[in-house]
Amino acid sequence: MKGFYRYVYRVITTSMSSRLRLGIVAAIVILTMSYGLYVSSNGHPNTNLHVATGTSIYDTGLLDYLIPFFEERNEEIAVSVIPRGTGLALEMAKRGDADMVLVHNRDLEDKFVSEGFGLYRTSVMYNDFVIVGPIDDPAATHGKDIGGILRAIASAGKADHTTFISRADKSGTHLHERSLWDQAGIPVDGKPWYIETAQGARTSLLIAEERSSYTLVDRGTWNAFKSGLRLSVFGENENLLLNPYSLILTNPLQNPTTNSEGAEAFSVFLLSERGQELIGSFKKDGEVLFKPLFGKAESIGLPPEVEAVSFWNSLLIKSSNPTVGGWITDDTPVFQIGPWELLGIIGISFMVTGIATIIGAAIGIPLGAVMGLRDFRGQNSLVALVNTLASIPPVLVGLLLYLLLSRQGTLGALTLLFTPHAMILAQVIIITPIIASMVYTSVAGVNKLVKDQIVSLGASTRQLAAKIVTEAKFSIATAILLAFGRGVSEVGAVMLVGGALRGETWTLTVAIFQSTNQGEIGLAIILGAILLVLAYSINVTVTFLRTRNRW
Amino acid sequence: MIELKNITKRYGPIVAIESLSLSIHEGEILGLMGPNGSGKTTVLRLIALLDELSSGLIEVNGEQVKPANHQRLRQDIGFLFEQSTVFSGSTKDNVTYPLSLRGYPDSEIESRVSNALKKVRLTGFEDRPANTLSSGEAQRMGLARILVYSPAIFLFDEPTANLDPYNAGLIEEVLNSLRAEGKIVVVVTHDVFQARRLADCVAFILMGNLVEYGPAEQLFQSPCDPRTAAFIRGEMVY
Repeated sequence: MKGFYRYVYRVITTSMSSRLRLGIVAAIVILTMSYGLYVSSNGHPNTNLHVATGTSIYDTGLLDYLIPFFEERNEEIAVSVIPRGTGLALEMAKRGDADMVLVHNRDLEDKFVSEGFGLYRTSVMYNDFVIVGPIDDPAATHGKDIGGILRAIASAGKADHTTFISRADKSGTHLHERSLWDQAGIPVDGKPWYIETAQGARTSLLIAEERSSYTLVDRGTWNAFKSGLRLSVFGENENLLLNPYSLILTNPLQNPTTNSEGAEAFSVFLLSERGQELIGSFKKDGEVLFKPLFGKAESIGLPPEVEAVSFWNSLLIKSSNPTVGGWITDDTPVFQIGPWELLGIIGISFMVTGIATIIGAAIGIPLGAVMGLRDFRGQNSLVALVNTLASIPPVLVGLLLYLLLSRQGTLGALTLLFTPHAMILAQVIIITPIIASMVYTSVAGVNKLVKDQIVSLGASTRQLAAKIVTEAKFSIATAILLAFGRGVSEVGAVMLVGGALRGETWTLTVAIFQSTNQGEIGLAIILGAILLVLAYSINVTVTFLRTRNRW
Repeated sequence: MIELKNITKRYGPIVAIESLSLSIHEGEILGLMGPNGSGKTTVLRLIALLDELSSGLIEVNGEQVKPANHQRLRQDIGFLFEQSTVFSGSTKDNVTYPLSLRGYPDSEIESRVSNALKKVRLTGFEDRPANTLSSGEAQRMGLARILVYSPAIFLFDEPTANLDPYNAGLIEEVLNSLRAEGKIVVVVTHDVFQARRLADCVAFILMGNLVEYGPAEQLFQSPCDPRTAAFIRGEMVY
């Protein structure tokens, strides 16, 4: 093994010009310094509070609105919101990857608590669900109660007049919708008029509009996005449609790394007089999206929550949360990215993929060169393995890495999940085989006659390897650039292991994804244009290098 | 002196060279002649230590060639291929390459490179990107790349097969000067006239066997073997 590294080192040192070596060292130093700067400016990732939520809460922008008020007085806690849908949010908390949840499905919440994963579940706020559909109401649901509406949709669906859009993402909304069908006694699975999107609230609304379908949506999301949609409300204001949101702390006994202190502080803020007022004041297009509910569950017909309420009240008294006026705005901007944030996003993209590319090149170039230049046992299997890894879907890499880095995973103790470190790791896994495979191809493709000529001029085995690598330098540069391009335009893996935490793990691609989800198509296109310009300049350079390459 | 003693080269079941013996002396040009596929180039590659013998032995100045001394002995061999590979960089970079392999100091590199380029009349081409050279110029550059480290043994494999008379003439001129310097020179060629112009001795090889070997004049004037005679007359031989 030692001999192998010495061989690699010699090949590298003899195959590079001194200027090239200087450039590479400079690039490594700059990226390492920027990484160090980044790490020191962000502090240890463990001070982060991970809040897993239903997508409907996140999509409305409520948390983006609330968190600055909280962080203003709790500077040591950085809140990271992970929008996942109720079912997945609870799964994350079970694995110990969220410190608290903000969700909306009572059955799942109770199960979560009774299984010992959660503590002090309490209602925070509520709105209600509405059934929306095309303005011309093809199923003739107008004036019916909820059961009647569902039956009307089902029979119109059978007659091919309309369809129903189901979120099908285990979100609170989806689970509530399923229970409504169950209560109405209508089977929906496999019915051609019952369409499952596996998308968030906003996207499902857009699909319903596009396909003239009915769907169930929470009023917050509906109010936030209804303008411009050719849909209207047909079912509302029934007890069956109430939509209360609860918070639950993750039980620290299940996972000692849980940030209980942060979770308690954030919960106290949400339940305090000020927090409840802020929730009630959050508006979009002049409409209130959520109503405060802490301590008032009975008032809307829910079972009382005496125990939890008294627990939180005792904390509230201790915390003496101040109430301050003058912070309520009329219309809360929901989603935008300022120029500095944009620069930060581009910076994170470059840093993550840049470092991953350097590490990938440091492993991939020697690996590819050795595969292409030497004969050894298992060579063909290794080449096949590397080529397979080079074409693996990034999202699969993300998933496997997620399981490893998750707090209960093998490498959970490193607490790398939802940090740029994890994104770099994921991209190293994606990029390294791409570089190795391309270097292998260019080095192994060198003609036997060319090798003979180099040997006949007196080159030793090592000098031959160095010469071939030197002559392949344009191919290798091409491989590095293309790998960088692959990395920078990749979204599946970085979303999974980075958690899409705004301001921390948003790369350009994640920002595009999130802007699209928020309906900010214009912003998404601008971000896309930046990415395209980047990809174009990479490809121009690659084309230039190709013309320089000879073998 | 190079001595080939009963050398045999097999590629799997195919016998490329069978029990061939030859001596090659300083200051003489040996022409290896024969039709395509007769095994001339195989013999040359064995002398160049690019391939391993199946059996038999090769001695260079009395020293038996073994895998252990291949790398050292190769330092004193120059091999000009039918088409010289052009490396990236300038003409000068290309010609410098074998010197940097041998760790020559910069001062010596400068004079050696300009001497070598002068011999092949490429003075002034130093800074030309090597991939812009014509095929004749590239072949002369390849020759300079060998001359530059002044080996004792020169091996040429159809060195002028693709060249026009001017470029071919330049290369033959260098070959003649090498003989005058007392080098060992082996030229593989199927060009009867070139062999006659250049070679002191000629070995005629057919299907991996040495058919006839002798001084060039004698072999061309009165060949002993009828197959040699037929080849010289330009007839098909088997």
